[in-house]
Amino acid sequence: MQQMQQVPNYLVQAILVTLFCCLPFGIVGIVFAAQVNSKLALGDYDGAVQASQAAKKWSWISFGCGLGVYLAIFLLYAIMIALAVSGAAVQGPGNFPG
Amino acid sequence: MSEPGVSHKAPERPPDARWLWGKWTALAAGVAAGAVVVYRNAPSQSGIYPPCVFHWLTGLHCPGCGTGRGLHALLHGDVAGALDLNPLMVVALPVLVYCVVKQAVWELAGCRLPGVFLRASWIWTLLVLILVYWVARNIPYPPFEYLAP
Repeated sequence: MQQMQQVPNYLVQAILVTLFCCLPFGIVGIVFAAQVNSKLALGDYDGAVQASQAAKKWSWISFGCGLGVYLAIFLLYAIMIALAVSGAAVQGPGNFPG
Repeated sequence: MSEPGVSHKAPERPPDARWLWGKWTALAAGVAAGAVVVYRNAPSQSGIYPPCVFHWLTGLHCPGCGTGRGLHALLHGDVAGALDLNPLMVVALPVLVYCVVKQAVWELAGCRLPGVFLRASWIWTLLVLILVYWVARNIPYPPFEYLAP
């Protein structure tokens, strides 16, 4: 049990991404988190470490994607506000905040 | 963190205390600032929030849809309203907060709080639960309607 807890599975990050970033990447993170614990239970320490690294990688990829997409949307907003200020009639990309 | 002989790689250099305190202070400040913004601006009315990309592209609800409005409701003490918007978020939030606090206490004070160790089968179950939740929220008939934000 002591050794089982030493390989982080990044489940918390994966669930946070699923709930807050609205990206299906969070699901990938949960799959790898489950693999970490599955492999540990089988005694496959190396496999668990590999799954852990993949889980970590995917939690960062989804975080980066979420951040990138939201920055792009904010940029779009900024452009639209600039257009609105200059008198053009514009509408937002959506009115459905997560 | 890792015991000698367990890790196959060279042990990582222990991060110095100042960096750790900086990291967690920045994280706490970010969460507090976010909470103030969400408390003061209702996501259902304010245009300052980015839309959910999945909903924007597909018109469907994802497992995270309703989280912003749900957090706004929670911060105003409206648990029932939050449950109505995203029940999964309301159930998951206390566990997630505890896990983050546990990690902070471990990194800053070196003291281990009781862990939330899930067996692999539970995580696979959780995965299925989230996928079912994702589909069910998009079924526009009762009782599934209740799951939609």
